[in-house]
Amino acid sequence: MPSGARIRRIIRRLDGVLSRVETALVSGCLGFAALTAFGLIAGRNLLNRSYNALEEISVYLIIWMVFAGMMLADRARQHISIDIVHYIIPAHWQGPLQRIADGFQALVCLGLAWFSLDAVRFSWRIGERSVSTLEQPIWVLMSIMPLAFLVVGLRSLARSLGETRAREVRDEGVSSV
Amino acid sequence: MTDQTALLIALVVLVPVLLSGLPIAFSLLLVSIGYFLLTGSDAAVTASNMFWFLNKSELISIPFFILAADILGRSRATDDLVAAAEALFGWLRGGLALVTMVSTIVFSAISGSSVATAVAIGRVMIPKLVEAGYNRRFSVGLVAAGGGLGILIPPSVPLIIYATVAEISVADVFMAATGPGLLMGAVFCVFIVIMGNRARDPKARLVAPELRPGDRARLLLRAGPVILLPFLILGGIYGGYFTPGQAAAVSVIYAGVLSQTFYRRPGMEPLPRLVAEAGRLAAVILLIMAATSVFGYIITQNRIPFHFAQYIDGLGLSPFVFLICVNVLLLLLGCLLEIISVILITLPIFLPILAQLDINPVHFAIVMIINMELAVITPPIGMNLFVISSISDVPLLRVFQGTLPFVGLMLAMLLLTTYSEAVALATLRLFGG
Repeated sequence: MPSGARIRRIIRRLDGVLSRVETALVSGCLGFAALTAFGLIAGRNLLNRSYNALEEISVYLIIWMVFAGMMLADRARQHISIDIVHYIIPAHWQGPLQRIADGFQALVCLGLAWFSLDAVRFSWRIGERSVSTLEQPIWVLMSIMPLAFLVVGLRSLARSLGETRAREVRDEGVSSV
Repeated sequence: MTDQTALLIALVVLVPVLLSGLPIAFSLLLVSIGYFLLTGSDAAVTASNMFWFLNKSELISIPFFILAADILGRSRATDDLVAAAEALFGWLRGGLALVTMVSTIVFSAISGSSVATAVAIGRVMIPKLVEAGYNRRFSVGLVAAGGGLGILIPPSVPLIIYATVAEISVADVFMAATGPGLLMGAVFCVFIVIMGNRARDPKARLVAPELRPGDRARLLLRAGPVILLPFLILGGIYGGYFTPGQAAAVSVIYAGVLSQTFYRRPGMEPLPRLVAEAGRLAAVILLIMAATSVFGYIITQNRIPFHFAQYIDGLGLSPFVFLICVNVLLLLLGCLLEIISVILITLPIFLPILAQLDINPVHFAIVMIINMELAVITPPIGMNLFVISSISDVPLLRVFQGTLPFVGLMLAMLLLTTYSEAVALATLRLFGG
């Protein structure tokens, strides 16, 4: 029977692997989407050919980037929020309030993991396909949604129970629009 | 439970949930799921709605423009841009302040983001302005307000979001925004020339270097490739070579190549890391948009825009009076909410009324975005105030005090574009849009 400390170590290791996967997915999807969009322009203007499938692929890559980026942003607590209350309330209340917010986030993300799984199953059952060149099965494209929401939900739950602490990343680069 | 009661509960719950610090996207999704559960509808609609909202080719330009701005902002391009502006305008009265504003205008035409502009220019220029004797309040206010131009001068992420929601041409909105954006930049420049020296300690040493004509030409040439980018983007779109989304992809490739060759900064983060960071930020924005689309679906399902349009019709307001009322509402909302949420939540409600009052949606785009420009420099949510305060170590309130004269100028510009469609759409009309 593994001890609590060992389980925590395994979870930390898994989280490290997941972090690398999230980063690779985000940069891979965005980088590849830029290249495919560029390829489309080059094809149209230099070869006089229109590769419409490339535009479609760019859109799908961006959809996957959004959900992978959602996981990555949650890890670094970089989702945009209105935290006026945190400036007003005394410091010793901030921790509990943050845990409550994390609890709500866990609730909504675990709920969404379930409902998006439902949507994926429905799409698979009716054989829904994209109305375009590729005629891609929609359920494949949607399949990242339950996974991403599950990961964020579990991570938020762990935070609200005080198991993990998200890294606060101060990014001096482009931080919002 | 009836749909209306569930919606009322959702709206009442939304406010404390948002204020609790729960991210905006998850707050909207929480109340949306709650609404579906209360009305006995299938909550799986939430997921499919998000997916189909994101499945739009117009949206791909958002991560691309953010990435291009991030790459150039972290490369040596900003320094070279400032050096070129200094070579051109550094000798004028209020020279360095003017250099800051000109650099801001040019960087706005590259970045699509007000915060990106404020950070990129602020990091280089605030220390220089202070060293040249400009008081800190003026210096930070200048950069924070100038950064606001980033969302009006195309390419601009909020303009893309507006065009996507309103289902109008991104190219038309870009072209229309160019005129008011440049006009506002010019008004800021005139103000700086008049006021700049008053905000400066006359005893402080001037840091503008003595330049020979050859040096000037060399500095301008070095900034040439980055100055070329806005022309490449807009020229490509209007020349019919590419769509706005593809233009954004071109700007990423162009910025990537420049940052690794011409503008390479020693110690600059590797490109894959920059791509991951920009992707993460874009994901945050697009997730808010997708979540708002679910909430918008609920609002539309309850025919709120229709009822609101009927109510406005009953009041018999003229288009101008309606726009003034909208301005007041947007200014208030802009103080309380993040700008993308304001656009996404209010626009679907306003759109039917625009059609009813015969207001051009492109004109409304300009009015709305100037309101959002004000929102980024007004407390408590003004993002530019936060970032400028953070990079300059000047308290938030003093940054806001520094922006006040520019707030006044922006309000005057808002009034002008609200009243005069001809001013708001001058460039669009000029180029046959």
